[in-house]
Amino acid sequence: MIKLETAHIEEVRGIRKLDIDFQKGTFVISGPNGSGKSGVIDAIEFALTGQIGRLTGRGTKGLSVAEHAPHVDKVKFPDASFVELRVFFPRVGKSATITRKVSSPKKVKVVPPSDDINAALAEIADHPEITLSRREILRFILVEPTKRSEEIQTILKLDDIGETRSALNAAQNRLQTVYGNGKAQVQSARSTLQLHLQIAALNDADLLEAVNRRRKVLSLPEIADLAADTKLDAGLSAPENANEFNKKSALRDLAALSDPAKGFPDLARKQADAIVADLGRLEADPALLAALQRRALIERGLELLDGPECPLCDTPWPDEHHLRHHLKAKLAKSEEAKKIQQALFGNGSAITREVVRVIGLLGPVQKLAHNQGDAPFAAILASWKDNLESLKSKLATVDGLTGLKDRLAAGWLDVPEEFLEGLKSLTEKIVAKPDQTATVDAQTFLTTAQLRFGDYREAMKKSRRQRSRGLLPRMFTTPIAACSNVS
Amino acid sequence: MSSLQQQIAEAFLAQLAASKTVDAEQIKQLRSLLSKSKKPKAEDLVAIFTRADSGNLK
Repeated sequence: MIKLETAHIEEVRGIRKLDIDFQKGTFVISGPNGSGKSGVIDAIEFALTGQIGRLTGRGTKGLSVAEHAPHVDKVKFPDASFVELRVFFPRVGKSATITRKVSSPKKVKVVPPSDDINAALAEIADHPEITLSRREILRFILVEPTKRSEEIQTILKLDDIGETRSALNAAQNRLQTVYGNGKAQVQSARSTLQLHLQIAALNDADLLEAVNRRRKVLSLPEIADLAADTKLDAGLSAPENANEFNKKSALRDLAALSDPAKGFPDLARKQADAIVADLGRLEADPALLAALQRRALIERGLELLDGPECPLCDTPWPDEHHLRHHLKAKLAKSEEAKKIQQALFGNGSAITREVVRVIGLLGPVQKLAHNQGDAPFAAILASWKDNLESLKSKLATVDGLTGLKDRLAAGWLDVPEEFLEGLKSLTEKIVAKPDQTATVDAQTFLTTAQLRFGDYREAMKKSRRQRSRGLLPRMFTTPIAACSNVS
Repeated sequence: MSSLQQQIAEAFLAQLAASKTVDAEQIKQLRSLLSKSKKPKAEDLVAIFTRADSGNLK
């Protein structure tokens, strides 16, 4: 803590010339409105830091120390505006006279010169929260409770932290979406592998038991442990050219698709209906729709903000700080739109997870149809898969969802007309095939197992990369909360 | 003593280091990003926490 001994203020704010003897004590200044009470605080802050807090922050657009710190009669003569403080620094046990002119606010004269006092002044300059204006106190009292933390952040001059927190939240939202999709793909690949292996849970022991049982039929050595490079079909002659068709497995794949296919018309129906209802609300309320569209635009603008020029319209602002607050104020006005946006994205994500699951079921059957010479059905399934892949990206944006409204109302899965008939025909074809010998069954079982194990590993690798991103929001939860507590 | 904002950033980085779920290199990159005068963007944060390696998978 420092103690003020005296102050000499000349031509600063509303003060022409003023001497005050603080006597190192607590000092109260009183007077009618406009008499210059706050000007004294401004002058002291300026002498200590070279800044005037009241000329920065919200509601100070167009204000600056250079133009607004001098007395109104001395705006063109900033050299005449200066503050001289006699200050006692208890930590170093010294007093010094500090003089600072408005014409060169970054330059301070300390008499007698002292490195200790220069260091103390540098520390003070790092703490703009040392001054608290009446305006800030009043605003804190009057603000609605839900926005009080923002006011505290402003009072403590923690705007940079607030902006960092916004970037963290934006990253969190983006990463959660990516991570969720990755998890769904792993789940799909795992289910396909388990379906083939016929094991209830995917673990080393059960997987090796299923594989080694077939390896024993083929007199191949057992695999004792799973390693990163383990090949489940190791030892089979030319496995890359081996026949992948395993009748039992093929029938299981067909059943895995045909059983849920009965429920396809109602898949994620609740979520689709909710999206259609929300889109209907937006259509009926153009102001709400405009607010929501603006949200996306403003959110993007805040992300791109890097300087005093608006990234959305190129309008120049006095500084980036004002522009950021302007954009945030616009966002705050569209809370209802925000709720709808969150609901749309939440329901869109739920449908995306189902899309990934269906694509996972279609994959093995498409391959089976292709290998069995059923090119038309394979083509139908390939086209449907592509259709569903493109659907995923549309479910992640408001514009995409708006374009999908009719499809969501009519049945978003868009099941091809020929699907059920083609599935039935392929199933009959597979059933009619002669049962495979134990040897062929074991060979094809291992070949298919290796292929699906490879797919699962790839999905896991990809998910790990995404999880390493996905870890970000979880780890930031506490620090964000810490920032919230501070702010 | 540094500014309040720097103190918060330091506390944040210390919590990350204590969590042991972030490696030292990522914390170093994050520290560097937060110490720059330019404000961090979401893309910058995503880039830091996207690792090229994916670990060993059995």
